[in-house]
Amino acid sequence: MVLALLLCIVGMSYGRGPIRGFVVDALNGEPLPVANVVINGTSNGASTNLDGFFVIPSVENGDYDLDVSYLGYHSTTIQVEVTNTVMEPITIEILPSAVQLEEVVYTVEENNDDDTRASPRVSTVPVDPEVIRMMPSLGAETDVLRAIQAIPGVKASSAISSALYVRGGSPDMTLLMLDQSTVYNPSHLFGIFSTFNADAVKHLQLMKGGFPAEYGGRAGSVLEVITNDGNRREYEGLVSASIISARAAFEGPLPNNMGSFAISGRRTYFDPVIQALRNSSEDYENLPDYYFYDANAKVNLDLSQRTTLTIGTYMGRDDLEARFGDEDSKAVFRTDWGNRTYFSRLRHVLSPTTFLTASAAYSHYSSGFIFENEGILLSNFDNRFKDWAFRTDLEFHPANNHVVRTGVQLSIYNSDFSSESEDVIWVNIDTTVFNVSHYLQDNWRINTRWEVQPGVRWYFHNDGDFWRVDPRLAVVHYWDDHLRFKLAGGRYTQWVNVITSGEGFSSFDIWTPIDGSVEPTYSDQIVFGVEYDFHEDMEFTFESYYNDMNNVLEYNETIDAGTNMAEAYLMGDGYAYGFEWMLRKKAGRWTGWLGYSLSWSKRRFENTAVNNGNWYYPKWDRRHDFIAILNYRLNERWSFSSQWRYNTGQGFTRGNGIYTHEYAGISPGASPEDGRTVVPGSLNNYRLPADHQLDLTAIYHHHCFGTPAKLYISVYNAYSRRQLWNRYNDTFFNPVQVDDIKLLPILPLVGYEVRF
Amino acid sequence: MKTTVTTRYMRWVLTGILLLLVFAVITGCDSEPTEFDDYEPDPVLTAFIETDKPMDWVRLEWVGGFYDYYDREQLGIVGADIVVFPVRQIDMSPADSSGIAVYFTDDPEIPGVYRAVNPEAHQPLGGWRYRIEVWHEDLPDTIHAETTAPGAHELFCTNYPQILPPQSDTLTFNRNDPVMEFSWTASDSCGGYIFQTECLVPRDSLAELDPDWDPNDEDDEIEPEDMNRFFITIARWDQLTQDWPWLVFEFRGLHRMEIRAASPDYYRYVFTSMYLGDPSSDVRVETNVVNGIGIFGATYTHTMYLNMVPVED
Repeated sequence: MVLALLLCIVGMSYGRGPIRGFVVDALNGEPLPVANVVINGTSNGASTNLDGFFVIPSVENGDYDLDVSYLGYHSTTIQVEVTNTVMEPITIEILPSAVQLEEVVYTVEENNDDDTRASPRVSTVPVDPEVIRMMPSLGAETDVLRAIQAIPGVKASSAISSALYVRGGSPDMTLLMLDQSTVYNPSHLFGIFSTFNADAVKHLQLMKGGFPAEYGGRAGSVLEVITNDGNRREYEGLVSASIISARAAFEGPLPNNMGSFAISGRRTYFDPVIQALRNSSEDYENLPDYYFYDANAKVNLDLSQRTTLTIGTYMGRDDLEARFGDEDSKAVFRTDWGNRTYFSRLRHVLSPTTFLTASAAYSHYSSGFIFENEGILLSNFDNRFKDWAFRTDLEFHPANNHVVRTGVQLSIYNSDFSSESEDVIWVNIDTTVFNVSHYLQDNWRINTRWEVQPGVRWYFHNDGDFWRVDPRLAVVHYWDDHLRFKLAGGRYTQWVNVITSGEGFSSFDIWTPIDGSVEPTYSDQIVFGVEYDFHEDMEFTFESYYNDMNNVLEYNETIDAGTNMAEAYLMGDGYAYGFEWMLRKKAGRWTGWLGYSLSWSKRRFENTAVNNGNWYYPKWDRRHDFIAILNYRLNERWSFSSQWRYNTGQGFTRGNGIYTHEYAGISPGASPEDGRTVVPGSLNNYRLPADHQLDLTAIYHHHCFGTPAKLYISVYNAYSRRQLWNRYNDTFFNPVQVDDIKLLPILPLVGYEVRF
Repeated sequence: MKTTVTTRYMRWVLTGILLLLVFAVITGCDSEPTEFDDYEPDPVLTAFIETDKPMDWVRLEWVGGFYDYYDREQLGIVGADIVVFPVRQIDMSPADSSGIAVYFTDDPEIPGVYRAVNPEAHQPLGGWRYRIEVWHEDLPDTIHAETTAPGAHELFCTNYPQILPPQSDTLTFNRNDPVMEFSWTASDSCGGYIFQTECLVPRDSLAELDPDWDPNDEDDEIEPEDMNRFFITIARWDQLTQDWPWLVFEFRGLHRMEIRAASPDYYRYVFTSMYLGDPSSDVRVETNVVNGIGIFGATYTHTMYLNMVPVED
């Protein structure tokens, strides 16, 4: 049937031909994803895929002007000729708008229209990496996940956590993809910093919900990060230093125009500083050892004009070792966690209207801690999670108004999780499963007003013989060039879950795939949105959503023996709904956005001890979130950035009363608080006070020994309002004293970056 | 023409969105707290029975107000009728409690404490299941709980056998001594094992094990909140060995050390109470008390005494 359809289309195509090619950065040859290519004077166009490839499949022979636009780049127009001869893919080069600042090029009309007409993606927020690099951040460390937290609908558990809570979902419900490979641990330093190195990021978009069928395996949202392929024109590098770490990146062309490479890395300085402190005084001898690093490497081999092979890796690791206790009774606590990912990806222009990608990836996430004293193992957990993923995707343009995507993915998950003390294994789950999924979706532009994207993804998961079908649908109505209405929804099934500790200290994340003992988590989502372009650079977005979550899994903290997920997890359900708006200025001297979200989220674990089986607000449920991001380029030398956030305080559990907790054979007076213990109230029955915080950054652009350099001067928490992290009942005092655990005060920070 | 229509249409759309947002913000503004707990103080029942030992005491009291000064004696519930009796024998057959029920009556010295009236009537037997019932005119319902007495078991200490009962020599240790290596036989009807130590030195005489600790140095003064004289940990029902780290001993002097086989409910009570004080944990202490909170637990206990001294320079 597909063959017949192909023949039919070919038959209809006589005297017509496709326009196809790649859109790349004019300075370094980087392919640009989600760029808009439109035939001048028509609504006939296409957007580039993640490899920068586009196809306008059926155009009558003749000469045309193509308008090309991309977020953060100058729009440009080029001429093409369509003939009966099958043309090779063309390469369209466009200039970044930042070039204007340094080279004062005003000759190209600036038009940063983004991908609003590219495809009917609802709840999708593309973020310009340049904006992220300008945003204020803790430790002057540019942080991708913190920037994502500034998008309405995304919440952080605290000011020191980079975990993403998107529209009421827990962090494991967000699929984090780095170069289309899954990343399982996105955090350094217990979640304070994200592992994505912003220097290497080329494209970033968050799909908050209602995402299309080409993405699967998670019940909430998708964060897609594409890193630089590497400069295909010349060698360039970067070194930078902040008070936390040093970073370096190097990229350039391969010999004989064979392609490009890019490597980047980052490492903290803590350990030599700690060692120096230890050597300086006995007072510091118990300081823990700690470091983290991450590194990306990527090689692109241009095998032909149509075929590119990419081989890459990502590595990141945190390592902490603390020794404490008296000299004669030293205890050791060690924890480390990290992710290693290796991937290869082949992209091939298969035919004039077909684009093929095939990839193989291996991700290995591990985490663990060990606590021992005098050779006695007091506590230990160990988690090794391996994911082998093989994937093939086909993008087919049968007609100007259709883009069909289909693909198949095989994932093999192996998880080995154990928790033990000296002679007892409390939990031991060792499981290997495979999961096969296939999707089919069509972007169908029915006419100039309506566009739909039906899709379906189905899965087979061998452990438990689960078959699942996830239907998806997105509809966009273009009222005119400025106003759009969007609707999306579907079912989203999740096959891996994370066990996390309380506030999400990332070293304790434990990933396990669904085994046959529990049903997979799934959500049913519906999203409605309105977008309005006030101005070519200014956009207003309003969205409302409802997310019904089923088979939500929560680690059973009080498990004392478990060999499968049913024993290790509690199963419940939840829902979330809310409204969000965002007013965004995308280009010009002033950029940034104002955003607000109003949301509700609830969960319930029936027939369990979690809040006695009743509904409760999870910690990350916050009613109001307001965010203002403002970036300003004053001149060639100076640019400024600010971020102000206001949000409702998070939930905490207030006590209902006090009693004396007794153990057989131990007098209550043996404890300093005489055994006084809090009777907790309903889970998260109270709220901490609302929080607000202002962060500022100034960037001074200059030249250092003839090479471009930047000096970052940041003020974190500018008016030093310390956010409450939690509220603690100190039963040592009578009556009970309620103490607030506060986060960081004002921190002035500097960083320096040199490009060569 | 289209622009005019759009402008007019957008005015309605924006007005609608604005009204919706205003409505949502107003309805979304929570007062604090999010949800009031309509909490009536629970009665707290604490009772332990020992296999092969006479029953001793039971405590009954109210939960105190969260922000109130906690005066335990003021919260004691006096005048209750309390009885403990067997409901099932080791072979699971019903137990005849006539004549062997143990009754409790108020201790006149301590409000809320009840002493066994007829402890000689019955000593708990391993494998038997017991029930406690409490009646009081201020209680809307009878408080009751059940537990199973764990069976007797043997304990071994391979490197310090003389510390074990029945001879129970009080040995002296420092932190450089080889750690104590315990093993034991399995206890029937046991939910797990509890390891606990309690420093028996009064609070005002505590001295740290650190050999450099100087009682005359202000910097070495032990803060009241650091005067924790007990340590408790657990071992699962299938664990039959345990080395005992010296890290758990913080102070010099006489310590009582106990290894208890615990009934399943008491084991869970201790297991879940280990999360107490962790602000990031949502775990609640498990209780087997119906119409109240607390514990009715049973143990079989080996008790040892040891004397801790600092390492000599």
